[in-house]
Amino acid sequence: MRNLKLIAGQVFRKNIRSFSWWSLVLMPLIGVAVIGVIAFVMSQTQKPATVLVSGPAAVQTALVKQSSDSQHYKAVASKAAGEKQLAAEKADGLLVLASLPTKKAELFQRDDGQNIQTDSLTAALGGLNTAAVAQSLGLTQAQLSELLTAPKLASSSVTFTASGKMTLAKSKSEDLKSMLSLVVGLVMYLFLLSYGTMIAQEIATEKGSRIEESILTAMHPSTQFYGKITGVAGLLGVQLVVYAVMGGVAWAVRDKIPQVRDLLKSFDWSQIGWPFVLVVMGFFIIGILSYTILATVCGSLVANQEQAGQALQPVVMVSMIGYFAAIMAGSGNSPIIAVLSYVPFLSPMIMPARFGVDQVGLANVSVALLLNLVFLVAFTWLAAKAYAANVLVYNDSGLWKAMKKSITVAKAR
Amino acid sequence: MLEVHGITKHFGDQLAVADESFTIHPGEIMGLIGQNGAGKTTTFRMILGFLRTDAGQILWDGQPVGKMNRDLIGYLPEERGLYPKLSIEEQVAFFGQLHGMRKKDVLDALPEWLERFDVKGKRTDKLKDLSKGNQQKIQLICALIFQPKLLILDEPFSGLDPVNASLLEQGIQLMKKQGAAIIFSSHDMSNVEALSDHLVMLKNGETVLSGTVDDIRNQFGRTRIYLQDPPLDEAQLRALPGVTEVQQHAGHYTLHLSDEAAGRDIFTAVTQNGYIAQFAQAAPTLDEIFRLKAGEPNA
Repeated sequence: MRNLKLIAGQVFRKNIRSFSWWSLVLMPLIGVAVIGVIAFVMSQTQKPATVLVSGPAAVQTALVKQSSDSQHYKAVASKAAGEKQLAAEKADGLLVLASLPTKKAELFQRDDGQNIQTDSLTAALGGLNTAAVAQSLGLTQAQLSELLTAPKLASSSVTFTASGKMTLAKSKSEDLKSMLSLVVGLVMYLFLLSYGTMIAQEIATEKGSRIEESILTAMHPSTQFYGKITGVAGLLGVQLVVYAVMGGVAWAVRDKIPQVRDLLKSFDWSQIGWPFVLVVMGFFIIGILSYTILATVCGSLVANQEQAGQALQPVVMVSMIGYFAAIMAGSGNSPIIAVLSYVPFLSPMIMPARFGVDQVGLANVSVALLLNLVFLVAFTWLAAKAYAANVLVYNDSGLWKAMKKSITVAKAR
Repeated sequence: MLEVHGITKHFGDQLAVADESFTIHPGEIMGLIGQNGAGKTTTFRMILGFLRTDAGQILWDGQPVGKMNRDLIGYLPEERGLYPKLSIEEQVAFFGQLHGMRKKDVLDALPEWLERFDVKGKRTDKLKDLSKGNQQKIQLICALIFQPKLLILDEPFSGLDPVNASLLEQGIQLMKKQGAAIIFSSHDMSNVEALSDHLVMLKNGETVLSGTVDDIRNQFGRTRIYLQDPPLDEAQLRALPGVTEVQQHAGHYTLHLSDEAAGRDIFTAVTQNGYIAQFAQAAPTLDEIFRLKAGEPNA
């Protein structure tokens, strides 16, 4: 236990003091911050488009009233006056229409001006034209209102039980959940590669420098293995705490910093809920640990640091399958994806994505989580044995031959 | 006390060590010699528990060595390895703690060890910034600072200059005085001769020599005569009865005898004119015996 703690502490301290680990932890936050800054700069530098309106006074008045943050309307006396202002770069566009109702309106846009939203302009003109036509037909205000009212489309999302019974899903339009589950898949892919690289390189370096033999004089290889995994688990814990603290701080100051408030308001947090958060976290922890253990075993197969990349190949390949399957899960249910979502290594990326788009309920997710947890325990035990056999075997001829040699050594031990 | 009884090890069809036996008491040093691939490192790995023996037993104080408290084992591997980004004190503290020392005790003892081995550099210096020789000394300190009871040194002298080799010899002698059972391998027979209470020589896994240095040398008889500036030339020396070979180098001659009894007549012949600077009759050096045994066909 003393040496396990020592190894765990060594892995933990070495990485928590490293720039690369903090870059890894802060990478998603830096990503969010960069997006926020870009959005903020764009919102500060992008001026609203100014559209001059030449035409009947009623149209001018109505459009000026419809001015928004992104598009301003301004009345001009004539087309010529408008062209003059357009030439002087006082506006971005000139709308010309002779009368109302009409079948023709013209919009002149400056090439170098702000972008004019023609869709909203067309919609506004359409409304005004309909009102003018209705007035000429002698319709009352109520009749006009009825004419302009579009039917409401009520949309609800449904799922089907095993017996085929249709039930209403708790909430559809869960874009945030499905987006988050894919983002978590991507982040997990990046994290597991980073943790995998970290641990595989560490072991390959220890093997290559032969310091491994000095360490193993004092302890059994499995103690060192469990120590390393415990150290990585500690780092993972700190990483989650950092996110929780930063999330808490952002939540606490959301009303004081407009950018944070706007960012948080842009999501409908009611869509998420604790079950989703816990599921994502559970798979996140199990996923990272599973892949870290896989990387540890693969790292123990190579002879030196130069071969650490080779050690990561299986990790990269398996995780890529999981990641792409997670993306495919978002575009529809398929039997293969459904099966893969229970398979260890793939499940941590696919299952949250399927849960995010309501392909599965909490019961299925719980089964998958349990399967992964049981697998993780068994895999850890087997990996410790494999590590003990591999870690003092030196073979430069690739992973496969190193594995065969390890099996020979394992029998000889 | 370390007792090795008839250990044998195969890797597949290849025999690595065959029926090897020796005993090392506390306060004794044993030299393990042999050419590359003779089975020395395999022997060490079996003692350390990295490899299981196919046959035989390894005991520490009468118990299987696997049950030994690993805090008491110091090991210096043949290929040197350290964490280059750690400082001297971090590195030594790590190994000291691995073997049950408190960090404070390691750091308190460190200055004395750095002085003993004349390590150039501050304790906060990173290992990658030290010279190769100093790195080697730090690794040795890592293996000694917890004062092991069983010390295994695989080629400890390789790459050391004579001054540092002498410091290392003193370090090993210190461990011996403190009662450690020490086993080391070396290709430099002068180190082996100077340090070992007894030695074992392996050849292709087989034990070809075993015993104290004197016993082994005496097995070959006092069949070497060393002369300096004798009154006879090389041809005359070669013609003396019992001389089988004469080697000459800068006024020094080494005569190989077929029988040590011929020494008396040779003494008379080379001192016929009185004083000569050197006449010594001795057994072959360990270096000669090593080369002789290494060159012999397998049994």
